[in-house]
Amino acid sequence: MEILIYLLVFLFGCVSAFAELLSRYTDSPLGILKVGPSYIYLAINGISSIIAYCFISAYQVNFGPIGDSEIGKIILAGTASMVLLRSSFASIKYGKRNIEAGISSITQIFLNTADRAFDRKRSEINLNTISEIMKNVDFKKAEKDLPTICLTIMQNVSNEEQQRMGEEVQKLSKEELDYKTKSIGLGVIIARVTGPDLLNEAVTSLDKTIELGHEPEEITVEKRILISRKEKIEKLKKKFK
Amino acid sequence: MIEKKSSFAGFHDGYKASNIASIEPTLKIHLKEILAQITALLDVLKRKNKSEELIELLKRSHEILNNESIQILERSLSFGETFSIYLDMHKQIIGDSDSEINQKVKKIIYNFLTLAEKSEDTNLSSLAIKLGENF
Repeated sequence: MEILIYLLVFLFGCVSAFAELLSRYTDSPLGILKVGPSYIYLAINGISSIIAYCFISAYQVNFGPIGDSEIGKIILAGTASMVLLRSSFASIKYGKRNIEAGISSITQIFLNTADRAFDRKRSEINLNTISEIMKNVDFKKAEKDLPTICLTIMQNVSNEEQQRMGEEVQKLSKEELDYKTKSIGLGVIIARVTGPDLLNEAVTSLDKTIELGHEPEEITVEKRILISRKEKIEKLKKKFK
Repeated sequence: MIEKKSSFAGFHDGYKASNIASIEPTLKIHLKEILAQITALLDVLKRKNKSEELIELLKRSHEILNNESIQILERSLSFGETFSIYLDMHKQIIGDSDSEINQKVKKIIYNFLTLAEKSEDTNLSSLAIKLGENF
């Protein structure tokens, strides 16, 4: 019976950690489970849940009515472990850095390592996929159209996330980089939100509109107005020079 | 509940905001040039004892443009509108050239056109074109 309880505590701790990973890597929720280091991350949280449960049981820590039942203790241990792992009893200023004194400084080392390994592995998988999707995409044609199409299909991307995406794309546009690099960069920025599958669908649907080397059959009305405006300004500048 | 205006408006807002942030140093250079030209024009008007109303309106334009608490595109738009009124009201004085006044006004318009061009802002460009065509 005790083993079962510890197992449940461990699983609940893992579920809490999994929820945290889901919130961080929204573009590839099930992809998290394909990467080895994510299991290390889940295990660290699971073990700390067991430690939290032992602490709660041994010292009869009072959390009110919820702590009276075993189920309540399991839930508390699972969620409290997240707090326990990130707690410190003091913050010491050393030069310009703040050093946290407590469990958090130790567990953070493990968490950062697992996190970085996961990110690296994930980046490898994503980069190959995205390079393939974006190989024939012209960055200049796609920089606004492609994100717009993707965001039109998605319903729950927050305004803040969209703005961040817009800022990143604009900064990428200003960089003096090779066009292929920019196209892949654009793909990565979009895929972080939409995932590679939707990105692929959007690229396919836009087809020749954003294809490298393909000239548009007609200039849109908007572009025509833009060109006309630029020409007028140039002409007027000559008059007032 | 996640709040959003439309499904992609946030992306374009972020794109535009980042664009403004990146071109702001360039816009500030042209803005300073316009301010310098306005100051030079004010000196000429005072020296030639031109109307107080003319001078006050121009001072107001200078203040609007120099107000750093307002975002650069907004104050450029406000300045453009105020300067348009100024030119409309005092066409004779400017147009009748005393060539010194006329030349100073032309420089202001030239720099305003350049500012609008660099900003790539639709409203500012339209205003600059209107100002240039009406002069």
